Amino acid sequence: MSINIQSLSISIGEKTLLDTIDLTINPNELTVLIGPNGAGKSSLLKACSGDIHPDTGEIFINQNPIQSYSPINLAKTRAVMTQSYEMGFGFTVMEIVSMGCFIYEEQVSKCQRQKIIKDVMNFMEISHLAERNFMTLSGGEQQRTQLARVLAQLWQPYEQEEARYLFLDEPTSSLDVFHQYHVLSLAKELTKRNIGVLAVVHDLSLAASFADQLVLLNNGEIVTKGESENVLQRSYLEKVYGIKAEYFHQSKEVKPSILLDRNQ
Amino acid sequence: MLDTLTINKQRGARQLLAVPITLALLVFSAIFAMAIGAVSLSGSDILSYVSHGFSPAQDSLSARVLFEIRLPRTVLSLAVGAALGLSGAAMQALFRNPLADPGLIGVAGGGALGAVIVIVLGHSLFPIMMATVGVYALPIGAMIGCLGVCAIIYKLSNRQGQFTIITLLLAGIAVNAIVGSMIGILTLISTDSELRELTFWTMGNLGGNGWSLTLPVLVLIFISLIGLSRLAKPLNLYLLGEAQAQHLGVSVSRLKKQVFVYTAMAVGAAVSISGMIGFVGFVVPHFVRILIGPDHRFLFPVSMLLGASFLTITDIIARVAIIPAELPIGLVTSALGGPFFLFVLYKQTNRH
Repeated sequence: MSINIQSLSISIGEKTLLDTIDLTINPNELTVLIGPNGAGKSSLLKACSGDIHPDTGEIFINQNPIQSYSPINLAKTRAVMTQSYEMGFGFTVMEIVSMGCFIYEEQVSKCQRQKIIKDVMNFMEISHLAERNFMTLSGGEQQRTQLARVLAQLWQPYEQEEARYLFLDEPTSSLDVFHQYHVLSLAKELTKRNIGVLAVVHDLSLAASFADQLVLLNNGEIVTKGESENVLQRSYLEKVYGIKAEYFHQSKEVKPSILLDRNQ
Repeated sequence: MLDTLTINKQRGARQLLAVPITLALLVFSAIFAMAIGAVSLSGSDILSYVSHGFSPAQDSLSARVLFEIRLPRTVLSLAVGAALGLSGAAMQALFRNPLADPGLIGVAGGGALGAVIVIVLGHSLFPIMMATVGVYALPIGAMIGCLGVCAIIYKLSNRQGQFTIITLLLAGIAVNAIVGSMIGILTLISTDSELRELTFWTMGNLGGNGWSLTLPVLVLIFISLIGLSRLAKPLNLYLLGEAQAQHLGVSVSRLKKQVFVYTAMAVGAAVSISGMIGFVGFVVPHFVRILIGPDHRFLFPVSMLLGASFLTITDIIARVAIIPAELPIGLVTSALGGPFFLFVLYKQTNRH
């Protein structure tokens, strides 16, 4: 069981968003997409979420083509955290998080549901904001609230036979350094529950620290993929990002990072 | 911080209390509406008449006033108010904008055009049809106008199964402009008596409708209110954004179509019989949202009940303010609702 993307191409008018992408996203793995702005990371994520339809090629989720899923069944199989969210109405944080329980709301008791909401809010450390109006929160707090909602969608059942997936589009963009690591550690935790995670991350050191599979995109194509150490090679970084930099992992005791040359 | 906390704690209690309170207000205003008027009836009279069944067995003046004039009018004001209140809330959800209004997408305007065509051109263009349908001509014309506008807007904004809200909004603005100019032209060529009739129609009026005109409208409104009420939960998720709602398992394009069709039906039915009654669909849900928050599971029933009570009370004022004549109800809703809403906004901005 996995997500299989087979020679996927998507274009809008003249512009090619994705060009013959082949990729497998395994449950029990954290796959991280990296690449410069406009490389096609978000498009790939949207195609996997079912938001945009492939021009050619196929996406199979657990062996079934993505088009064969109804909205409900798709929601039971994957959760999505998008880059932006508009909210012009004054819901409380608790109300927003509880929306994540929509698909299984009838199957669980009110008590269980409240426990789930409490758990995910504790996980994202937003319990103290439960009664606050969402619109009055800071950017990072809003992002953590939305993440809690997305987590709630996959919280029940805790584990299941059928693999599930979590798509995160720049989940760390507004977060402080502590919460950046916290969120990605959590994503990594989730992979132990038969959940495959696909995340777009801009910070290369952060990506290298957590990814089981790192995928480097440029101009809608996959440049290379695999383990962080092999993907973040000097030649690739220079070709794709135009930076001179080195992958550096001092010891097992510390996370790897990307060191930029003094002379760019 | 502490302040916001307590405000939101109050919200839960308010949500639970709102339905019983508005329901009580509705019953009270309905009894009041039946009791007050040129012939005054006491509350006990009304109860005894109603408990003896709806057949006007007692042939007294007061029984006939109650069953043939007051009761249909009260029921109609409740239904139209409920329809306007709830469709306002639904429209605001559909556009994810608390300022949206059923008048915005041209539904009400289409109804007005249909009605004005019947008033000004009806007798010269389709004399036989006018003779056959009789008193139904005006509501039928208004209904056809509403549905016609809906069909056009729907067709325009529904491309390849995708239903785009921004096109819906822009098409509504264009349709409203066209409808306005056509009504203007028809007003120019109308005779004095036609001009008087259409002016009063555009100001709204709930009176003069017997059971035969009221019942079909009640059925349409009832169906659409039930339909809309069932969409409360998915509409909450829809406020997160279209993609986000889809991710959570809501079939978004179907949801949008349902809201659109039910709202058009409710507003069309209401406008067809009562004329243009502005402001209720906008001010009622907005006020309710300030009190109990945006959750549609509470917002919908409370807007419906409060809309019904609000319109019934304004109709009482419209009937008794300048006895023996009547004020057009549309004037009263705007005259009362406008300043009240400004006051609420003023209090709101002062608090923050």
